[in-house]
Amino acid sequence: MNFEWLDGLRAPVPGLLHALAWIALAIWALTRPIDSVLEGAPDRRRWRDLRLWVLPLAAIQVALYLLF
Amino acid sequence: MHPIDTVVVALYLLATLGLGLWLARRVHDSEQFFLAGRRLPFWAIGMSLVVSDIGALEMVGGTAGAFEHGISQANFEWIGCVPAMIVGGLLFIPLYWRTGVYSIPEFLGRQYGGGVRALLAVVSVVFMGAALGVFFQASAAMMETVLGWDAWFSIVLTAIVVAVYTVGGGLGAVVITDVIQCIVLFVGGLVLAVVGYQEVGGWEGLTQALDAAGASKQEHLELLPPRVGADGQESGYPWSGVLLGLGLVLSPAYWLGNQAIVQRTLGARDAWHARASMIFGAALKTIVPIAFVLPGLLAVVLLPEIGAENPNGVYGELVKRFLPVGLRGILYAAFLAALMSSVDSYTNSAATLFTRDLYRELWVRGREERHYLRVGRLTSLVLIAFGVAMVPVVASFATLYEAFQSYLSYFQGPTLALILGAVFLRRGGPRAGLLCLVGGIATAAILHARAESIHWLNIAWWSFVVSAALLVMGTWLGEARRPKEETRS
Repeated sequence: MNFEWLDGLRAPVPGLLHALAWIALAIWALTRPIDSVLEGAPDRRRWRDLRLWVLPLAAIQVALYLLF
Repeated sequence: MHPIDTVVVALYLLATLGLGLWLARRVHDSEQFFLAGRRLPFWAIGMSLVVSDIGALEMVGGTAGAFEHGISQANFEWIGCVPAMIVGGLLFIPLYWRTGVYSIPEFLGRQYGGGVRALLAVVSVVFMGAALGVFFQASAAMMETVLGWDAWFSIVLTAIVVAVYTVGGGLGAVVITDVIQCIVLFVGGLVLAVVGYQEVGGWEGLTQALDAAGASKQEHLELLPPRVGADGQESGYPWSGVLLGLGLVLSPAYWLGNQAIVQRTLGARDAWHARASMIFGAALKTIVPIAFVLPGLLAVVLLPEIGAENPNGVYGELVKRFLPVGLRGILYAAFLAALMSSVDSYTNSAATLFTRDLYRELWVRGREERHYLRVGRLTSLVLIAFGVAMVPVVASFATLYEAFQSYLSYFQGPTLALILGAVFLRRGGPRAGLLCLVGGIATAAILHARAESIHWLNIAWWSFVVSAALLVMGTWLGEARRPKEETRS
């Protein structure tokens, strides 16, 4: 139950798996419909598009999990 | 403590108390008390989310964890927060907000009935009371190390200060004081990190010192360490547990199902602000490890003996030794800020759960709003007293952070299964819900009884798997599709 069978996977495999998960999350965020993302917003200015907020966050995390 | 530092701390406490009392005069009904009148902007909620979560626990327990386990402690801020906050902001939080509910048990109760709502509320209130004990214990460790104050004196003093403004001002006072606390906390934490980083000779000095520290420290710069390290010892945070237990269960359950977190977003002024608050909070979370994990790594080089003897005392000792007078006062204020923001959040949220999901739902219906406001305030007081009483229990754990996370892993798996079922399956009624909740908690408890052999991150994963299976099975055995839910415009 402690996932001993994963012990054979050593660096850099775990980091790559995590980085892939972040990339998948960024792609998912980008595919959210704009009307859904802006629901309730007082205007439709570009900075209110929350999908664009997600991209730099995901990029930083990919870099961190690949570096360390 | 130097007189200048004392003045800084006293000014901070007085300012917080004054602000809290001023805000308390504007609270006249239970919606203002529990949801701040639904007028909060995204940036205030985002800062409040982060400061409530990082709290004193990360300053003391997080730094202790980084000293013992290395940079992998940062996983609790990165993979343990950011993805769940993004998914929450883009998908789950708007769903909660639109239904107009006050709490997660209320949201789940619409799908699974009153039994699940009541049980989840009881479990959450007990957990939050226990978590308050962890927060107070963190306070005592810091005060004892740095100020030489008696542990119980520190605990009682903190409890009284928090009680005054939380009981009076409710969520509005909590969030507004959290904004100030967030600024103080980040300034203090980052200053300590920069000073300590220069002290060890930068990145090169740090890596060389860790290499020279022996086999037990060689994996301190691995974010995803193997289960068994180079020294033959089990890792504190093995990567499989980090990915499955923390990333896929504990973190989503916490950010999507913890009342102290979700309640702030329910107080947002509109759906966009509710969404944006989570993503803004995720951005702040990205830089948290610089302030509260890096100092633990630096302590391996700067304070190896003190850290080995008492990891929870590392943060206070770093402050005392490496910061000048005045700046030290800001750090002490930051620590108090962190502690108070966690205690006030959990107190207010647990009071919400008790008042809305238990007292008002099960015992006393149909009274005027001012009655429930009084009950909420009284419950807040009782909870703070309960948290103080829990301190001796949490003191038995090796590090405070592990104590807190262990409490979480008991019922986070079943909670997440219920939320996912309510949002995606849209099937399953009271029997399936109760089966999932009780079965999941029982699984976690049984596995915890064998804690010496199963890592608690993996316990969270397995309790989620069992809960989800029970929910699907209960649904499949004959639950009806739920009626269309009411939404607010």
